[in-house]
Amino acid sequence: MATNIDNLKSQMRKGMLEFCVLLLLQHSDAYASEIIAKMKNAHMIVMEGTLYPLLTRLKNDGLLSYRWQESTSGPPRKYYSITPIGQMYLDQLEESWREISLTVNHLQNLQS
Amino acid sequence: MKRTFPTNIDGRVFYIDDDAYNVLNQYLSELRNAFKGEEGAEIVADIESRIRDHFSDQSVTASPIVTITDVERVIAIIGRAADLSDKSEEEESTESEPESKTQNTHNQRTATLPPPIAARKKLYRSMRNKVLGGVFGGMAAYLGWNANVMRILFLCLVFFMLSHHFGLLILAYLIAWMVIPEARTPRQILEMNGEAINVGNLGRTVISESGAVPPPVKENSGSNFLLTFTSFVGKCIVGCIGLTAGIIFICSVIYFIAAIINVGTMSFFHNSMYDFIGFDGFESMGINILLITMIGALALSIVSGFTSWACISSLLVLPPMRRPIVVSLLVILVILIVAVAAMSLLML
Repeated sequence: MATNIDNLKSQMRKGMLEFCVLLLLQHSDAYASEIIAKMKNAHMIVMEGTLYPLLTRLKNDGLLSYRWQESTSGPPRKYYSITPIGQMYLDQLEESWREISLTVNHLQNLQS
Repeated sequence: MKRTFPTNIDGRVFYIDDDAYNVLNQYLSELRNAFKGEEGAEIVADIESRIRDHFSDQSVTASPIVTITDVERVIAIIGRAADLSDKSEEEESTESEPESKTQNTHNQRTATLPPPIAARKKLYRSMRNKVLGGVFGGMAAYLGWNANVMRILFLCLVFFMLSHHFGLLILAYLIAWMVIPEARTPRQILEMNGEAINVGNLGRTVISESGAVPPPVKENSGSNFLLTFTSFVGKCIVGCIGLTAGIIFICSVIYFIAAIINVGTMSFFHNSMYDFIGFDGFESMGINILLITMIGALALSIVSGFTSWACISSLLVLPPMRRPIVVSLLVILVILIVAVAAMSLLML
């Protein structure tokens, strides 16, 4: 039972991760380490590595793009930014997130 | 006693001891097995550079030598290959080829270089993003703009040239329709979007042909007639407001430009522009009134521009306005209103 709940939790988190990455990049570009730091602060990810396959997939799907930027310390970094397609996709995600949270709130309040 | 030797991790040299090296090597080859193909190589390269960051963080604070505990700590932070699979795992495994081991070092090197994307882009007509011939869809893909914005601008242009040369514009569109080839094959679609032509991308294009493009938002309560009807009426009203505001916007911009030309020419050639524009109202105005109406027209154009953008973008999918632009326009607007008020007070 416990493993089932853990599984469900990680499934939910995985589903939300994509949404959260797009939200994060909506207003400012960021490189992977920044995204990881913010996601960890928000308790969105447990393992850092989960982010990389996601970023690469989003980039290949055209939702994100990246450019190489020199950094003052160390080698150049990949700066990810959201594309117009990604923005449209994000708008739709936000729409459906609103619907889902309305539904859940509604059902939770039915009891009391 | 342990043997320690320098190792290059994504462009930086670390001193690492024997068993730490073995564990790290094992971990990286696990990752390479889990993520195959070109996409996989990129993921592994990214993770490798994250490992480098972790090691360089610690070499500043603690010991300069990477030991097995350090490696295990970093692996625990990043996660084992089995835990990292994305939900597109099935996709990846269909795309992957049996090339991972031998070519991976090569791939990794190319993956860490900035890819030359722009050179391969070609102009095609888009078969997916089209209203009539896909000319604007293709141009939008080529220029990286929004196709709907280009269509609206083009229509506005045609509408405002109705009296004179609008036929030329339509002719230009038709010629473009005939001359520009359409992107039919997956290869052409990739060229249109400026993506690299490789097995992974080709596969993805063929897959997304069947509709992996995010579907348009649907009204979820289509069955309820009343709701559909009211939403339709609402859309009509919003559309009308948007169009009216758009026309006001364009008129005030034209007025502003005409007035600017007149302010510039007033002192030199008195009558040159009036016949051309066909509006002789400027003549009767003093320069002060002209200035006030000019600034007022600019303010009006900003307000109506915002309004029409808001209305139209709630009906069509337009890219959101960037916040800096909005803020700076609002600031200009406030300054203009203050200027108009001050000048008219002075005149009185």
